[in-house]
Amino acid sequence: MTSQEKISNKQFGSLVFSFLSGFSTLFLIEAKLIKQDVWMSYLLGITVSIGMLWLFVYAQKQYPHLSMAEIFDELLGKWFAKLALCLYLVYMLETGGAAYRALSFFYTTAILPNTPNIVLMFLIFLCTAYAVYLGLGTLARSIQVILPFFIVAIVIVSFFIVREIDTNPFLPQFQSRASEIVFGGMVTLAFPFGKAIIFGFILSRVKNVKKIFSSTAIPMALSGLYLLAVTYMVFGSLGFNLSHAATFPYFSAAQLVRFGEYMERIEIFVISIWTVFTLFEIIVIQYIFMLVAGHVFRIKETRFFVFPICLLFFAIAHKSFIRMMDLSLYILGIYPISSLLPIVIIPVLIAFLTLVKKPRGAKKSVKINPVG
Amino acid sequence: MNSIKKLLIAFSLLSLLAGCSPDVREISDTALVMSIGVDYDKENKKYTFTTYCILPAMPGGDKTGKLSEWVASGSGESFLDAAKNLRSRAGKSLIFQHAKFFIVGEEAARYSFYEIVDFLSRNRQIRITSYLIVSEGKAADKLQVKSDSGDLISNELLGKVRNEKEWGKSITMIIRDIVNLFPSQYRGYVTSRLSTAQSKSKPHEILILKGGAVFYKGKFIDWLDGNDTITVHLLSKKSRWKELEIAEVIHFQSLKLSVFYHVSNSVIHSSFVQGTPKMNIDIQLNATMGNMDHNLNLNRREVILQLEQAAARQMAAKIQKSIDHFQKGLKVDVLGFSDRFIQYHPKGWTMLKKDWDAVYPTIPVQVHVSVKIEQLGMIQSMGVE
Amino acid sequence: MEQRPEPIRTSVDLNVEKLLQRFADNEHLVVRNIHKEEGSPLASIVYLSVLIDEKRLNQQIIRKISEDLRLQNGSAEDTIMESIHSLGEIKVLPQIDAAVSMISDAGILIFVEGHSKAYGINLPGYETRSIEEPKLELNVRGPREGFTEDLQKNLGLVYRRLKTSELKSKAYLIGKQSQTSLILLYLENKVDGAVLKELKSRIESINMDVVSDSAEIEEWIQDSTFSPFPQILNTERPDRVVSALNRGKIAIMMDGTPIALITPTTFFELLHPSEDQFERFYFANFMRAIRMITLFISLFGPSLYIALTTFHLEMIPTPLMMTFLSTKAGIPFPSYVEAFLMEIAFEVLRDASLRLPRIAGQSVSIVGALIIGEAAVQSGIVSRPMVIVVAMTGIASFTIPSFNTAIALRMLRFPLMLLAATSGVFGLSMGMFAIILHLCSLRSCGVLFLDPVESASWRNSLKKYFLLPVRYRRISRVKKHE
Repeated sequence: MTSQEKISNKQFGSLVFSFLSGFSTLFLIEAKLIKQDVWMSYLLGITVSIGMLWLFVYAQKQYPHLSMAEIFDELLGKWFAKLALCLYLVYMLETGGAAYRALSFFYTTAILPNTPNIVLMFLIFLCTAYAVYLGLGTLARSIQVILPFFIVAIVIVSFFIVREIDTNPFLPQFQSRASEIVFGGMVTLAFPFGKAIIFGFILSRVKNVKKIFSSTAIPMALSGLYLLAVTYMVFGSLGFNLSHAATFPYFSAAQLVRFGEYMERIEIFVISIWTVFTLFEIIVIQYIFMLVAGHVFRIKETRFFVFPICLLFFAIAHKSFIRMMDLSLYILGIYPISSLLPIVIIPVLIAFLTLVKKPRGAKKSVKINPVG
Repeated sequence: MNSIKKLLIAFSLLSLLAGCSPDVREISDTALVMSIGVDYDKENKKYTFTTYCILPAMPGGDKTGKLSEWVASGSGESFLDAAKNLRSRAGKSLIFQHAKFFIVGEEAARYSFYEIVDFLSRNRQIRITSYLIVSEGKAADKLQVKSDSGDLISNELLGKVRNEKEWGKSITMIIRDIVNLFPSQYRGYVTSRLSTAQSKSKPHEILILKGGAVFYKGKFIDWLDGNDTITVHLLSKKSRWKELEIAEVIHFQSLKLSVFYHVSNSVIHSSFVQGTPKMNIDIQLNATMGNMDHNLNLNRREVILQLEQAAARQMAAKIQKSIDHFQKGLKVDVLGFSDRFIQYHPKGWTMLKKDWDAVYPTIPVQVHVSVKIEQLGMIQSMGVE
Repeated sequence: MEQRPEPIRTSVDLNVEKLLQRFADNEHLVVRNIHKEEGSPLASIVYLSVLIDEKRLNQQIIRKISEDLRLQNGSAEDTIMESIHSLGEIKVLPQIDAAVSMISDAGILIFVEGHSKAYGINLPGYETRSIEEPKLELNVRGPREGFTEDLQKNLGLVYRRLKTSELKSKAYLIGKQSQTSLILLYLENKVDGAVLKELKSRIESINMDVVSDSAEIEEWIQDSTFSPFPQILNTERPDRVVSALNRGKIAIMMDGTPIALITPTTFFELLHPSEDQFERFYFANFMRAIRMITLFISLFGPSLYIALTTFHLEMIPTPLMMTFLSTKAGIPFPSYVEAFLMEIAFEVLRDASLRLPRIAGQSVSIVGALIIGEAAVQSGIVSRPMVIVVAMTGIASFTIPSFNTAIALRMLRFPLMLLAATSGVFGLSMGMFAIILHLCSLRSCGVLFLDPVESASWRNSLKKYFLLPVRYRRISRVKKHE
């Protein structure tokens, strides 16, 4: 079993990038909200989420041999740790459910209008369950196979979209109020970037713990850059009004891609690769859910729980966000606030406790040493 | 082992599902909609939805499958209703993905354009790169017209749109741009105008794509003639003027010269001097000599320079005239001056936008054209003696 | 039936009797006694007449012994011992069991009165094929020798090409009944010790009665039994074995089969023929790039066609759509049924042409392809584009040199077609993802199966996937165990 297989920093970085970049470009909600000033919100969102992850990295470095869940135990005590971890479990469930739904909504809206959602979600379920079963090492390797294809596809699409841009869509700058930007930042933090916090739980599985911060922060920054580039292209090629009106702006922009007069609507190909890319988010969430749940409920052999856990996600997704609008209302209304607890508050708490407890721990080890 | 079992079960389940998918559409059961005509009867509040389809001629008949044309219309309370009512006449399932043209009747464009745009942008089957054209009179009639060349109407229309850049007297917009400009309260936009004319050689009427239809504040306002669409071409997106070729007759010292221009650069400058908006238009044209009716010694530098100046003056006057028509006649900002102010003078714009309709006709516009005669063609002049 | 090892007695008669017991009801066992005078035999020669070269036995061994006996100057037993030792490669066998296996392995056994040991000499007399051009892996350029069923000859082909003491071998006897010899070959300085250790333990765990081909060994030692993909390269080309050894791989050669196994193997090694190394490097790399495309086509060809023509009609260019419209008119079956029919027909034709004698086989495939295809189109059962797609897919799969990889790809086409018929490109991308995941999870003797793609840097992967000119081709070692 490959359950304790370690992954390289590069693989970890690729995983973080694909995790963040899959769904981020689907709705572009915050971009619709604050238009040309959205880059400030992105900047805010990325900075905060990198900072929060840094706190986890800091804690991890103090306890290099423990997994994050064990660090929680160490710092919070058994029962508080269980509570905190359960909060993360709930958070992952809602995020994963939303991702499930978003993907199937996208397909039923844009490509397969008559196919029932449940069929698509069932396929997603099968595929992701298989991936979770295969474990982290396989996952990390498969991202290395898929990432180049994704990049090539995106570059080709971008090349054709950029040709459609003729005025700088990011003008005029600084038209939004600060409160709007902060709200946009919160949305950005909640929706694409803050999710990266769950990578805290697999930090211990990365080979080189020393370089781990850079291999987390760089992909996150790149992912932000990618999101910004997409926003620029969408605004430039579709115009503000259409981007605002379109349900899936990036998809609409990709429809503009055409080779000469005849080859049109090439976006299906891109979407098929993009779909695989988005699956990584669901898979990673389910995988980490499995790890954390395994720790909380003291399950030794988590392998047997892959299927039930993925089934749980499937069921949650099937029963929630029945309407398309529910999803955007949730992302705009509830999610920015509800996700603050796992994304910001707990990491701050953990880092604070690490800082407080560290000297004592050091003393302990000094005391123990002569005895041992 | 386990995963294999799981996979096997999954696949056997899938094999049951295969083909049951409600989204399957077999090509053999489809009619390909190539263009769509939309009409609106204001008095009865009825919509008419006309499709121009092609389908295989005889199922299982000849070896070489031939295609036949089929025009059908349906009417109803709303756009979708009309489209659905059409199904009562259709013997095949209709596929809209390949519809390249939306021909909107004059009345529909004037009174129910919002619904049309909404339908077009909401429907997933419709490409946002298809063209929207306004027809004189009813759109349904236009789709019934036989093509001049004997080709399919949709192919002929596509050819006409493709030829646009070679003469500039029509300007066809794609749905994406219309949807994007539609909500704007400040600027208007122009798309092509489709009319019919009596063919000289054939007994039936033929389709003509010339001129433009101006939209402003969500509805059709007025027609535009061919010369004005050239100005719109020249001052619009780079992708348009980059490929444009316009012919022009220059009167110079009792000579008559024909040239065609390529645009090498076209810039609109906006400025805000002491609260008054001002526009500067700068166009650089490259000319290629087409023909001339008398001999002119083109080897002399000053002759060329004079010729270039004359050509530039003439062109500037023409553009100025069009712009005057936009400003004073139509009172519609079809060139997107308002966008310039929004993007580059956001502060000034907040004052302007309240009474933009009153300000727009009074904005001074300076047109500057420079012409370079770069190419003379295969001969320089026809011999002196 | 296994008992504790039975020693060989000093009495020839007793020993022969033991052997006759063991080989009861075997009519081919021959016992020849050597007498000096009347009385009990001085020595006995025992062998299976079908296995050994009796001519050589008569002309060389028996004649030598009897001549020596005639000119004897010591005791008869000593003389016989002397003449035996002068015969060359003899094996001293202390037990009856070893003696039995010696006889089974095309050997003769000599018992000498008064010696509690048996002496064995290998004297194979069965016919083997001579070295021929490989049948399956054809090359335009490169060596023309292929392995035969004879292990000794095959080993000779390999040793001749690698004149170094680093070349090590380890022999095993596999199969309780068949006692087939199996040789592990590797270069000491190149091989990864962990992989070697793992492989040895796997071979030792083999528990079979009869091994008839290396395919069974392959099945036994591969990492993932239920994967559709072969994880071990097989070849009948000695040059391929040698270049693999040089890259730190381990070759497994078995008696009785011309197919050698090479492990650890990566997916991309299965995709490229050995000939690539002998071509000019531009051409070789061009072909490698092409093979990447054929890999894609042979896996996704029909399913992509199904997805496009039933779900995503917008993607087909309008003029092509018009052509499809006219060609598909009147076809009674939906696209996926059409595709299934044609794919199955193709597999049937392929298999039929393989099983038939060579000359008839060719005509079957041509007749099948031409007549059935054309008739199907003419009568309006399948559409022309479908025939093109299926034919293209089939031909594309033939460019992949590894036969069983091509089969794996062809097999995976069917579930992918189902997925495409169920949910179009969505299902297809799910299927593609599952296949990629599966490939990523595979290992070949502990080494990642998708090695060049997954190695640390993409530049490195490209270097491994494409060939550099020979001058710059640094031999990279097999990736260490992770």
